[in-house]
Amino acid sequence: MTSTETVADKPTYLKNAWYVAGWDNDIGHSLTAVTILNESIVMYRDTAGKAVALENACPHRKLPLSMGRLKGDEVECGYHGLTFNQAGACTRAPGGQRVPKAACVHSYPVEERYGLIWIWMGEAAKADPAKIMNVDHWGDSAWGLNRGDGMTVECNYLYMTDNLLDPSHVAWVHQTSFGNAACADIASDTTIADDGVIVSRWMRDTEPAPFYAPFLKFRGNCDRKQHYEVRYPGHAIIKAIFVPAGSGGDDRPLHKDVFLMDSYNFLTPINENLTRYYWFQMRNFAPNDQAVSDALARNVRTAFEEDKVIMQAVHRGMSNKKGHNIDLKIDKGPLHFRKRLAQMIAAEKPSLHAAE
Amino acid sequence: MTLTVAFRKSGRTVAWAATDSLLTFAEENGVEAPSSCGAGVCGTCATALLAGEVSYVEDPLYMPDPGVVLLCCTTPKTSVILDL
Repeated sequence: MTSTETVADKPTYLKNAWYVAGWDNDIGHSLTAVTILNESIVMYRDTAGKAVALENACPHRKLPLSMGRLKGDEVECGYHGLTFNQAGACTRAPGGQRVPKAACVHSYPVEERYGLIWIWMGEAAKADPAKIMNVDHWGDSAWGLNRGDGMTVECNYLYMTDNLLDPSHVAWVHQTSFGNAACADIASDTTIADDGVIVSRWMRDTEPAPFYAPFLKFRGNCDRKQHYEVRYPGHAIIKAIFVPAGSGGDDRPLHKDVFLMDSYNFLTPINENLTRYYWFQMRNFAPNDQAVSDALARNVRTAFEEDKVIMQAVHRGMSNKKGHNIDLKIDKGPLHFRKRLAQMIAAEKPSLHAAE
Repeated sequence: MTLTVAFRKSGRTVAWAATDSLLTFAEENGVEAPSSCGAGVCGTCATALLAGEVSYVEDPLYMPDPGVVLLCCTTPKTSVILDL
């Protein structure tokens, strides 16, 4: 058994973690059913605008509450009218009977930050909003934002963490965007950190890749750094640094014409075969230029569609493989990430994983 | 003190010359060794260590069983005999 299989064949997720449940405008004052970590959840905004996430199953006969009605701040089951408030407590049981004490549904802790709705999938008492990933330069007037997008990818989320810890793939998957021939043969450094894994490399005196070239403030060749970082359970920061050739290096100050783009990528497993993918990018130029934001958003989407095709085919290939698969040098970061995540999952309370 | 690396199946013993790993050293000396990642993650180069001790120059993903070493991320600490 290879190390890739060890985790992918065991469909478990880190429960005590924040995941992105959607963009803030995905959820309004109506019932929306979502599936996260194979759990069915009904989401809505109450009359004060606060996002609510409840277990999507009435405790009576498990009818999805999303098939019922939103009544003010509460959800009424569409079968017999049991009604639940934002905390998941039953407030009404029609038909002249007492409100049964056992009638409650799990209420998931929810936070809003960076235009995204975050949901805590584990023990509610451990839900600390301070553990939501920090986004550098958020709100900095010198930095631009292209608010991202989302897509559903038909693959296990770990194939996506593999991809987001692999700067080398741009040379083959993204030949018209993030990569070019200059990216093919340069080795990366892997750093195992407490909160995730970082794989990075500098490419010296190369032609800028097509995605970035139109936005650089300097002409000619560049020194380029790719910083690929994924934090547990599946949140990536991909940093791109471009400076004029000869001026790059971790031990040197950034050149005045430096191009910086931080791409934030959030993976939310729907189940073991499906992943919801959200992203946005921060940049150190043209902060208020909507045309630049639109162009970047469009180009990122195109490039991520290239990843999607590969990820889905990899998932199918690995799920139906006839012979064994091998691991390469570039798998070091991804496999260390999988190993540590599996250890973190194994260390969680077994009751959190009883339903899997 | 000169360290030696003995390749049992090949019947050869060679004086260790500093290189990045036992895998590179075996290949440089024409000894066939299985390998894939070269980064301590795939386990393909796992080889029985019949005598001696090695140092890991890179932390492997999983430590091999006792008596087995990953050639790609080790160098000899003492003279060694490898089952190659």
